[in-house]
Amino acid sequence: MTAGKNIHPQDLIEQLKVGICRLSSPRKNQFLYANGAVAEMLGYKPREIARNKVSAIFASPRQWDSLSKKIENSGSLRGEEVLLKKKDKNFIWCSMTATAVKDRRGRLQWVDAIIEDISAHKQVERELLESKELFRLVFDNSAVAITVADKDEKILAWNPFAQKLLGMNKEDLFNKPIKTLYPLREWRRIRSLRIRKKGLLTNLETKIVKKDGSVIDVNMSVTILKDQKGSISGAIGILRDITREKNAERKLRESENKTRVILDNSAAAITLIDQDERIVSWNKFTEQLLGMKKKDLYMKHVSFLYPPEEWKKIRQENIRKIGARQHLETKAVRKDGKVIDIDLSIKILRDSQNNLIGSVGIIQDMTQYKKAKEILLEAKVAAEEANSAKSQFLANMSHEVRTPMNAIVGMIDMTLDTQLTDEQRDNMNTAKEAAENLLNLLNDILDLSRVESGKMRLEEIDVNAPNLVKSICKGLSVLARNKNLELVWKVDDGVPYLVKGDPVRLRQIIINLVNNAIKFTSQGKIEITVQNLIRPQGLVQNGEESCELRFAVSDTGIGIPKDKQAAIFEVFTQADDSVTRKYGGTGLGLAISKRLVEMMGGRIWVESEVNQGSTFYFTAVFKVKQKDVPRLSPIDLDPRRRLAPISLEPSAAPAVGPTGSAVAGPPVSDLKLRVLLAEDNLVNQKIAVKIIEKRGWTVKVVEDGQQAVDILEKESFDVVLMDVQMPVVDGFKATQLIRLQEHQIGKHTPIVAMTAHAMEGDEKRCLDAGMDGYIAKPIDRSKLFETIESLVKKGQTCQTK
Amino acid sequence: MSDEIVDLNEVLERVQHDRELLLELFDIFLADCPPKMEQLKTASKNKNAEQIKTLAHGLKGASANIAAKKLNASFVAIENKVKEGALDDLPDLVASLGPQIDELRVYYKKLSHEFKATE
Repeated sequence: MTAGKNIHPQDLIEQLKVGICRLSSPRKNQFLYANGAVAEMLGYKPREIARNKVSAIFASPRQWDSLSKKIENSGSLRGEEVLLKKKDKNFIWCSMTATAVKDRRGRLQWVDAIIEDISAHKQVERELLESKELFRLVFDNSAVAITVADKDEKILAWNPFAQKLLGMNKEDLFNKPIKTLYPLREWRRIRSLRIRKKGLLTNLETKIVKKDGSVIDVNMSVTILKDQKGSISGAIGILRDITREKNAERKLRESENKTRVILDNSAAAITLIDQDERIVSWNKFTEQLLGMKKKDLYMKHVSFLYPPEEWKKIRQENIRKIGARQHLETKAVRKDGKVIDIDLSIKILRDSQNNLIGSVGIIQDMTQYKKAKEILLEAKVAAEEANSAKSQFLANMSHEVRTPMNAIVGMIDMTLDTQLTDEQRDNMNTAKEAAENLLNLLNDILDLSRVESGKMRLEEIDVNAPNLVKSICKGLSVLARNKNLELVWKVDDGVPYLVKGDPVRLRQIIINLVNNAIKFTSQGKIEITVQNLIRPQGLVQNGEESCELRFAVSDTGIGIPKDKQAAIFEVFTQADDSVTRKYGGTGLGLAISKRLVEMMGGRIWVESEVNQGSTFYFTAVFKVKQKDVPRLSPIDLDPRRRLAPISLEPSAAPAVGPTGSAVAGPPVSDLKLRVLLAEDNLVNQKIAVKIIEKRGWTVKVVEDGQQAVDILEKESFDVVLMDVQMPVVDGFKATQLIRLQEHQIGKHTPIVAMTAHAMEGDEKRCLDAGMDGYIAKPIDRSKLFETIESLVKKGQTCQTK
Repeated sequence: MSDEIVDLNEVLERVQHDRELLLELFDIFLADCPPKMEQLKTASKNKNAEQIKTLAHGLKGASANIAAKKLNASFVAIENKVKEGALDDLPDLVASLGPQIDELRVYYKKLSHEFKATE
């Protein structure tokens, strides 16, 4: 080896990549030698390193002291890890192996040392340590339970959370079969999943048994561990407690189930529609009601449930805009094509951003309801008809019975005017009283049935309320005086003098109340008061001023028990049956009054204490006739008129004196006419004759059309009054015959038809038959004269021409 | 239907306050009624529309002339029923005439009584 011969050992050491140095004793603290590797390791230039003190290359200068003592004592150092300081002040982990060289006396001469850079090694070591630490930290602090089992499925390791979760300690866990942690069923299920084969299982929901026996829900992941040869060495299980989630889920499901139960058992079809109006969800009843299955409904456009015209109607409701619509009466089409009546309610659904997401429709089957409603309606109509028929029947009956009753009363009256024995007179008076009572009852029934059948119409004419009350009191004062009762009345100043109303009906109500008061009072007084209840909002109605009057009739009579007070306004009710026996009366008066008061826009009521007396009130609304009418009328001021009956009906015709002197007929005519009267009815004849003769004309009477024709052949008349309907030959026919005759001799006698037809078209018919005029029966004198005279004058002018 | 038996003013006016004539007219009318009523009853039973119409029409005119309002209204009603062809309703209507004629008779008697008293 030539090369070897040339290499100096010094060079070799210098070139080695291992740091080699000779250090003086610590006392001298000097580098005796350091090769390039040392300088490089510590970041010095080759010559620089020897100028440093040895202690200066240590991170801690004292370290060299202790190290050198160790070396001195033991003679050597092997692989000591030391932290050195580089020139740039960074530290570097190195391994130092050193040998002490001593003199003969054993004193340390120097130290030869080998220094190796172990920083890389140190890094790995530290990282390993850190990773282990991290793992431990994770393992110990995980909020999941981690268990490690060996290949025999016995628990080998676990983290603190596992202990906490299971409520177990070391003894409970170590070396225990892992299956004891699970309920048997769950363990079987886990087994069936063949985890060992697959190597991994994630997120399995299962249950574990805690030490106290309670079972909790967990989410489990399992990893199978294998050794280098690939055979199973164990398993890691990670368990997460999901009890709370499960409970929440369970609750949600329960609530959903409840909702579902409610929805499915609801007797209404409930459907959920998406924003495109397609059916997305529905309850059981929907299928039942519509006779449809899932395939008929799911994702179908909702419009197909309704007949087209009904869908149009639903659309017109603009439900999307208004958000909801309740109880829309419409129709739906079943799968079998049958159209059913439904009640539809719709609610538009929007998300939190107010975007339309669909709607809920609730459909109720109205078929039964409609049917029931129809039946009810029919029943109602039938009942109303029956009631109306009853009222009508009563009205008719009363009317029919009233006529002969009038005759009976009239005859009794006439009999009473003749010479009678006392007994006969007494009997007749009793009969008259009974007949009059019966007439009163009939009148009441007639009134009531008129009101009930809606046939009663109230007049709206002038009513002088103060005078009305006064005249009633005057009229009834005899009755009151007979019972030694005081009858007083008081009309407030605020009551208008004239109002518009029905005086007859108002009088009827007041008389009924006062009559009752007199009837049921044996001592004391009866008081009538009238007040104007000024209702600010009621003053002006439809531009007309109106007032509400309150009438009160109070007595000091027997009174009415509280529990009977409402009933007395019912038909055929008196407070007590015994009352009827004792006091008489039809029991209809108050019922009629109540209805009349209601028709007058008022109400009637009673305030009463037994044995103290009663006060009957009623109100009625009237239009006020005029504002400025004086409160006191001349009638009130004229003492002579005070006891005279006061007419309250301006419509009443002026009385006609029986002598007739007051009423002048048309004056006697200066025309002297000959009249032919063709009239079969004696009454009509006599009247016509009377009228014509009174006029100063002469009249000849024939009894039928044929006689008229015959006499006109022989005699001449200025005018013919021709009844249309006559035996043998009627008026029309007779006229035709007369005209035929006259035609031959060129004559025209005016013929005036008299007919009781009084129908439109009668006049035309008469004129068509050849007559010249027409008057209706009953004969109106002026009209008769007017017609005849104008015809005669016309005839004369025609003839003079 | 009018409830008034007789409009005395009207009929008095028509006979120009000749009370005697008035009473005579009532008398004639009332005397004429029973045979006519018999005919009406028979005709309505036999549903002889033409005869009913004629009878009712005549009575209508006469009753109108003596202002026997209520009776007149009944005859108008009978006539209308015939026009409507509602012959079934007639017997009832005709039956209702009897009491009305009685009523008129009472009225007449009272009236003649009154007239005599005021003479």
